[in-house]
Amino acid sequence: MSRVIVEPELPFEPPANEFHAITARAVQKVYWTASGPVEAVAEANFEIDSGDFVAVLGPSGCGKSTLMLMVAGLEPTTSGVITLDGQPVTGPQTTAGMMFQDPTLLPWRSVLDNVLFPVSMCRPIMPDDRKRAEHLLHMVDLWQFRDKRPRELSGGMRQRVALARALINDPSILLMDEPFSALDAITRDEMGLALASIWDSTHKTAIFITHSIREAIFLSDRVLVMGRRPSTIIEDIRVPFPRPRKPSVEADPAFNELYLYLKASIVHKPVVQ
Amino acid sequence: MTDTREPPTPPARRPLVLQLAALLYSRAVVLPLVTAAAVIAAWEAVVRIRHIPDVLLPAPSAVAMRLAETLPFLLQHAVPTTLETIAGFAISAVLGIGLAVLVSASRFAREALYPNIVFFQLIPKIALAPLFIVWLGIGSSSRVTFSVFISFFPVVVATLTGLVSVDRELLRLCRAVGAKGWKIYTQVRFPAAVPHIFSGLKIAITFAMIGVIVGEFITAQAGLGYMILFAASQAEMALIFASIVLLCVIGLALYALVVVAEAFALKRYGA
Ligand SMILES: Nc1ncnc2c1ncn2[C@@H]1O[C@H](COP(=O)(O)OP(=O)(O)O)[C@@H](O)[C@H]1O
Ligand SMILES: [Mg+2]
Repeated sequence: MSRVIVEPELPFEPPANEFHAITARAVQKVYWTASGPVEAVAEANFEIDSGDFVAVLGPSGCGKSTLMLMVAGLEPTTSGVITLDGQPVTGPQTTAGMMFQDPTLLPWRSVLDNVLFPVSMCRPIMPDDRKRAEHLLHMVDLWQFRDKRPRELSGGMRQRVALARALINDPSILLMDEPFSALDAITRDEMGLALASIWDSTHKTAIFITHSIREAIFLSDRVLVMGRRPSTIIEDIRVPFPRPRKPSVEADPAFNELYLYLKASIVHKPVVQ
Repeated sequence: MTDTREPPTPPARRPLVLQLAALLYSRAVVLPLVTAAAVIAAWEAVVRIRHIPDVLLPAPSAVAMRLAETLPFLLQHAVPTTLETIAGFAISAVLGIGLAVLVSASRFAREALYPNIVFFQLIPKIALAPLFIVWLGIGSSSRVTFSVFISFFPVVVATLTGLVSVDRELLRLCRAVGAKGWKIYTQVRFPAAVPHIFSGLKIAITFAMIGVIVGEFITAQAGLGYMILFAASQAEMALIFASIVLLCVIGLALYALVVVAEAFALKRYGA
């Protein structure tokens, strides 16, 4: 008697695809404040492929920073699951490199020692670490400044130190929260170019929060747009331009078209409540 | 018009001696000195013109002469005052910084201790000085203890302010890289607090001296505080002023030492 071989039923939650470096499933975040609960993120769902550079756009206060902190394991999710390389995030992720709006360097350490800061905080510094730090300083073009103190550097240079520091542990993902927002327009463009070229040589999975639509398009493979609170991800767009990106890409009519589309999607979404 | 672009000659650095001379003649230095000299001259003039007796108000010149005559004797009394001030200050620094670290590191310690430390400060502490004599006797230990008692609080407050002044994102970064709590203290929080700590130490050194002098007023054995009381009992006004002048000099010197240490620390840890 022949029997029909029944396919084993899929478990309710499929195992995370190993090609997804980051996944978010029904992620919600509520902050409990003195004046009541604040729902910073209502529901976020996304997958980010390994090696993708993903920009996140959205109005102020829509929960972008919160989302990034949850990915880094620095804020717990209220509900939902985030995974990195298939593993659920339950605490701080030492495999993530981070950058913020302020460079947050230690004023009493030299540039080189600032780059080595993440290493120095959890284990003795090895000669290899030093070599790597020196290599990174070459990469961000600060080799000559390795012995200087942060106060002797310009804003853009400090942010480049912060970038080198974020890369010191060779993180599998790079999380950047408006890293260039405090810089002037010219320095900001230079930093964008520098980051693009560094990304071209490292291909790190990256989440890059920004308010600049042009910066988002220029740098990323994909743009996520978050709406006003209660916030969800309202747009998810692939950026079609080939790499390595050159500044001339901004002259491409498709660039402008994408720019206008994203601009409209951020501005015109109805404010809920 | 011709445009002969000569490279600008870099301004030559003046030799150090000239820089010092310039500083000395600068208004910031000269003006306060002139003011002080004017006040002293007026004092001298008033005493001479009005023939004010020495037992009421000695002229600055009389004070200076008395100071010169009695200097070896006064210096003998200055030794215990100075040493006790330094001891009180040193203990305050260690105790104050230690308490601040404890209070900032442990929520339990904060809730159990901090309100009490603040409450302690509301007590008019000088009123308690006799108690220390009763408990600890008339030796150095009671004066040093009292000195600590009135000078440690500014250190606690300043250190705490410094320890919590650390950038939130920097602390986030520490957590992100998996740093241990004590590492965060030694590598981030404490160095960041150094400038604040020194503002507390500068207050503490002056308070420490006040504590020792009050102690000497009460225990009356030795020291410049004792000298002042003794001279008052003898109606030796010039000697009182001579002792005060010496106290000021010592106070200034100790304060200056803290300022120099601060300058070194800020060179290393300042922003
Ligand atoms: N630690 C916190 N405690 C309470 N509320 C917070 C906290 N962090 C952020 N929020 C609130 O959550 C919302 C989203 O903040 P955030 O993630 O910083 O937004 P964005 O980075 O997009 O500007 C805001 O309304 C903000 O006030
Ligand atoms: Mg933000």
